[in-house]
Amino acid sequence: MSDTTARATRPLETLRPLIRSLCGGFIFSIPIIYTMEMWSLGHNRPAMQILAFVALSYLVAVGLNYVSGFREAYGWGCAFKDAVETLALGIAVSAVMLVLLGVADANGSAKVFLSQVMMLAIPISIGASLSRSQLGEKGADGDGPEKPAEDERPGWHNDLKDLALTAFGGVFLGFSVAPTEEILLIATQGRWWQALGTIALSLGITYLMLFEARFVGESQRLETPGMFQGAWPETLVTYAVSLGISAYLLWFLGDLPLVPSPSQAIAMTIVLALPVSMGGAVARMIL
Amino acid sequence: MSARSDRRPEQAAPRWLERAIFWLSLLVVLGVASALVLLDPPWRPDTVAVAPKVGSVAVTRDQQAFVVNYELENLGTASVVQVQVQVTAGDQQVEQTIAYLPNGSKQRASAVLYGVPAGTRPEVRVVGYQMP
Repeated sequence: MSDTTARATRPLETLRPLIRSLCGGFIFSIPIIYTMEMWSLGHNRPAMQILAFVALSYLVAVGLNYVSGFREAYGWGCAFKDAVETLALGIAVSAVMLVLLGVADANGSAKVFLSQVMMLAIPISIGASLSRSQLGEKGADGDGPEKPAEDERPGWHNDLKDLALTAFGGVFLGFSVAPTEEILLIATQGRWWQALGTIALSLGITYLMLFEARFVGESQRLETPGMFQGAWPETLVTYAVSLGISAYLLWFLGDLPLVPSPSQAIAMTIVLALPVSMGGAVARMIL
Repeated sequence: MSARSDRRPEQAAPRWLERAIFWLSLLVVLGVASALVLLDPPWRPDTVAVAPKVGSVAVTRDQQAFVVNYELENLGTASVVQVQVQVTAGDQQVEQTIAYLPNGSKQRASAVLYGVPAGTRPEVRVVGYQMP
């Protein structure tokens, strides 16, 4: 056995993506772990609702894994498997942190503890997926040909990548904002023209971040083939996805199920869609 | 899916360890999810639908304060987050909202009233509750 092969077959090589996931999970979710609103999210929610939220977030992680795997050989099977591993890691880290921070009560309910663990595992596992797929050294995890460049891929792949990254960035940024009472307060106090202004600002800032501010990869974005590729179609699709992500986050984490009128629910979704669309745009810029 | 597309990026590493990590991860995820469902099964009837009610009521006096200690019962397990309670003693009345974590069937609370003559019997009743 050659020296190179001997190095590659060390167990540490297999554990390295897991170690990277662990570190990334901590780096990206530590502000959320230290937020009191997050601890109480699991208190009064039915188990099935929590599991549905975990399942949807798992699919976001699968999409992120699939579109950002470095290797050509990286298919849907790998994406699903990696997402299971990062979710399990999120559950373990979440349980340890809740115990270390004293949030978990030894005399408390097991259901409440497991609910807290599951809710907190979501941002940790998303951060772990991000670091596993994006922050590793290229070529560090194995051999095989690299994925083709953006302009060599089919158009649908680029569209899917944009959607997955927008959803990922939106969930990541919106996760810490959605549970706060401020969303309901702002939506309740706001008038119709303020809601329209928020929509215009969301669209405008997304467009500027992606296509006018000369951030990383701007020229590549403009030349990428795909059905929705182009400055304004991309901006509109990003905002549409952000509205969906906002409604999804508010339904599971916020007060959306409690508001009495549809107009108030729409206003809350528009208010949250501003930071969510920014998160989506940032994810597409840096990933 | 072909064998080629299922090949892991870190394929050169030991396969047994890679598989062990995956199966252990799957076990953790499914184990926690199953435990959560068993602890809060969707098929379990929600006892809150019966409506929260007032249990034992006790009175203590602290100088001018007339303190009514009471228990809310039949709170169920997973749904109600707030209960509105009206406490009346003589011509004094106070309405309060009790927020609680649904991890038990009882919740203790108290209301403080002033200017209540000695010997007055308080009346405590639930006037509403909110479910998510």
